[in-house]
Amino acid sequence: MSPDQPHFTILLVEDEPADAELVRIAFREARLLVDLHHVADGVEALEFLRRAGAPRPDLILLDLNMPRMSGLEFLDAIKGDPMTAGIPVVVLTTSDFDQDVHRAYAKGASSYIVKPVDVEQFIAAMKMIEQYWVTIVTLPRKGP
Amino acid sequence: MGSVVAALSRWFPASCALLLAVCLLPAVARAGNGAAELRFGVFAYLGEERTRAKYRPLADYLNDALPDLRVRLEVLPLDGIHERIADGSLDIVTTNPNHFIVSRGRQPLTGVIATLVESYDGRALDRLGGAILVEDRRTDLTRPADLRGRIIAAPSTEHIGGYRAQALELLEAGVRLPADATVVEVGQHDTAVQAVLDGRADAAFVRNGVLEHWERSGKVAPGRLRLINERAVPGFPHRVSTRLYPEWPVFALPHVNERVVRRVAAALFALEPDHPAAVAAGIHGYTIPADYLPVEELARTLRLPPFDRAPDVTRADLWRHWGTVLSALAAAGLVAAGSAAVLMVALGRERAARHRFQTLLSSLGEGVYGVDRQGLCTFINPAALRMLGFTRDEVVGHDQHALFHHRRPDGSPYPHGECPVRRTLEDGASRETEEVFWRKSGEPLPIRLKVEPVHGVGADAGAVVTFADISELKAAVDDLARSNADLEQFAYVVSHDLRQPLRMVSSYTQLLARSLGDSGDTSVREFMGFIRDGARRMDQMLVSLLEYSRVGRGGEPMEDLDSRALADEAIRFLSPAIAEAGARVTIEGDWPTVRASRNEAVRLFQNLIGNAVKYRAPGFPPVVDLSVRPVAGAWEFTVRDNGIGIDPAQFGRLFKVFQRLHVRDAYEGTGIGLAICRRIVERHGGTITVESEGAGRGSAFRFTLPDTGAAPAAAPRSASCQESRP
Repeated sequence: MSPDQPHFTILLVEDEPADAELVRIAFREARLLVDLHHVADGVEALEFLRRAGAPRPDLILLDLNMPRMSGLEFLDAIKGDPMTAGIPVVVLTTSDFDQDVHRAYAKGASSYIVKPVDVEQFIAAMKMIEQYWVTIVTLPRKGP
Repeated sequence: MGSVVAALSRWFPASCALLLAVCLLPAVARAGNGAAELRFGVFAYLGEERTRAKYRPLADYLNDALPDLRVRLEVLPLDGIHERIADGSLDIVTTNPNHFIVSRGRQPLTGVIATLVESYDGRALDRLGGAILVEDRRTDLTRPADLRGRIIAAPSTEHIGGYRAQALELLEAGVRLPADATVVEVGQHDTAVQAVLDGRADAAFVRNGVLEHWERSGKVAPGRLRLINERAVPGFPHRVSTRLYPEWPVFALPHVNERVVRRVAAALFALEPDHPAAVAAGIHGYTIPADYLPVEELARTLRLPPFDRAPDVTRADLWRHWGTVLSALAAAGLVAAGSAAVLMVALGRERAARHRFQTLLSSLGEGVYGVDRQGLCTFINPAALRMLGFTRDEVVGHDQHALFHHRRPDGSPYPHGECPVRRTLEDGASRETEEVFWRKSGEPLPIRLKVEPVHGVGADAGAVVTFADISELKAAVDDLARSNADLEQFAYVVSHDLRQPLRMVSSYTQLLARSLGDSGDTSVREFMGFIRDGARRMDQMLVSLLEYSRVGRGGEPMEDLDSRALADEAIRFLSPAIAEAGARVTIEGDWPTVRASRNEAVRLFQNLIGNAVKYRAPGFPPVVDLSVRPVAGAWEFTVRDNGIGIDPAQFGRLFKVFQRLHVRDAYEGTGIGLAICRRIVERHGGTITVESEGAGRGSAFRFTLPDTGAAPAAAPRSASCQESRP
């Protein structure tokens, strides 16, 4: 993927508006052309993925602790569905619990990132995520 | 143990049958049907009806044991006993020791042929004594002499344990009863106790065991009643205020054929505590005749019958008055004692062994049973029956596995072949395991089980099973697991839910500071710095707390590890800090193998060495010495430094959570490191202490780890080894 293909789509699943805003700030500062969609929990995220006409995300940024449907339950749901199983999921959470890390990878997460406490480090991490997934990684072609 | 029981149970009936066979004897009093009649007089001390109910099974037992004799039970009041003895219309008599002495004073009797062994709450007692009870708050009543002029409740003046024994103790203290105090005869022991509790009497005279019974059944709070003149009697299970006297004697009248006497004695001795007759009578059995001289002395000293008629009677007087009687008595006694001795030689050793064994089994809190080679139960003790809810007859002779071990803890069928008892019977190996037995009621009974094979031939071979109820232990373990899970949940909540909002505070303060740039007020930027600093520290504390709560949960499993390797690894982790401080760390001596969780033990060394490097005196390069030495059952590790030292007044705070001894500016830290050390050491079964001669004088942290006896994992090393230097 090259910079002239601007429509890299990211679905951010995050119930905390303040955290979602930090992600948005980080992407804005990186000055990259990213289509960022934000939903507040796993239920909304599934609705987004199944909604006709909604863009299929290239990457999902997933918080773990959310109301209604937790991040791990959401992982189960999309990895169990052939239509969505190919979308890489980066877990972005405050939990550094070994159990959560193990479970997330076991359920098919592509990366597990503990949100840095320092805002500068947080923004730096977001930039790295973006750089890695947008410019380095080859992702499956989007379906017809 | 099993073989002893098996041997005895075979031996006893055989020996008794043999004795009976050689002792077929002429009748004592011919009954109509030709069988000789043996008239068995019993003093109606519980009233006629209850006494008859108690002794009926014993009479039946004697009838069974002595088939050619017809034993007729005659329950009689005191006067009746005396009358019937006088006209010779009783053959064998049992009554309390007083009556025996009194009766013996009136006419010649044989000696005692057996002495009752009472069963008191499952314990065998062949002696009795008395207690003098007062309310504990009565500080005016502490010695026997204090009872002068008081009101004393006693069941009756006929009782030894309920009056006479106490009266003797008081007499020796100068208080002569009944003249020097008011003795109220209240009929029952319990009534006497109640009289004291109600304040109607100052003291109660009751026999041994009554107070224990009241306390155990909760009728009186322990400590509310106190004994006066308490005596220490080694091996006696009850508290007593008096010397001890023998239990009820069984004696024969002189007209009874000596061989009949011997057979009755044999039958009485052969009565086992678990025989229905003994159980029904609430007794343990009979033993060889006790010495009744103390009872006689008691009666004489108290001038009670038969010594009440000649006030100045002495033993010489007695001999003059009763010489003929006493001679006859002595001769008869010799005969009886001789017979008894012959019997006891035969029965004595096995009986003593069996008696000890039975007492042991009965007194055990653990369940014990034996099985033969087929897995059929050969014996079972009361505790086992109590736990399982079965009766002896339901278990003995039956398959224990089918009876109470038929299902696994999850309720699924438990095949015979997998039962540990069965497997021990097959391979002869001891086993110890946790299992679930099933009570008769169907409830599960979690137990710890031990199976020991009994090697022998034929019926002696088998196994002995002991088990203990571990349901409380199980419940405690479950509670602990739950509480640990709660703690883990709490740690999670702390780590996530509390850190999340904290992150918001620090992140957006940071963003605010950024957007302010250089334009803002200096003090505003300073304030924001404080906010962020506070948030950062709070975050560190939350992380530390989480770490503390995870000790033992996230740890690697316990294994035998080279302690030297653990210390080396900690030093490697710390090498940047060691280099930066210019510290020298030395390790001395040979280091043992210890049983530990690797990451936790490394963490322990790391915290202690790290502290030693961190809390250094300004201008002095840190020197840290690590050493180890054996102490009782453990290894003691020491981490000694030349650092800033610790005021001994602060030692108590040192190992607690979030306790810092220094201002933050001087030494950074959350104050959790040593608390974690303590938690790790204690989890490993050790202790941790600190020594310091004070501020500026260095300190030494010592902790122990149990010596598990594992072989050293590494070859001895040089006495001193420089590990790291700047």
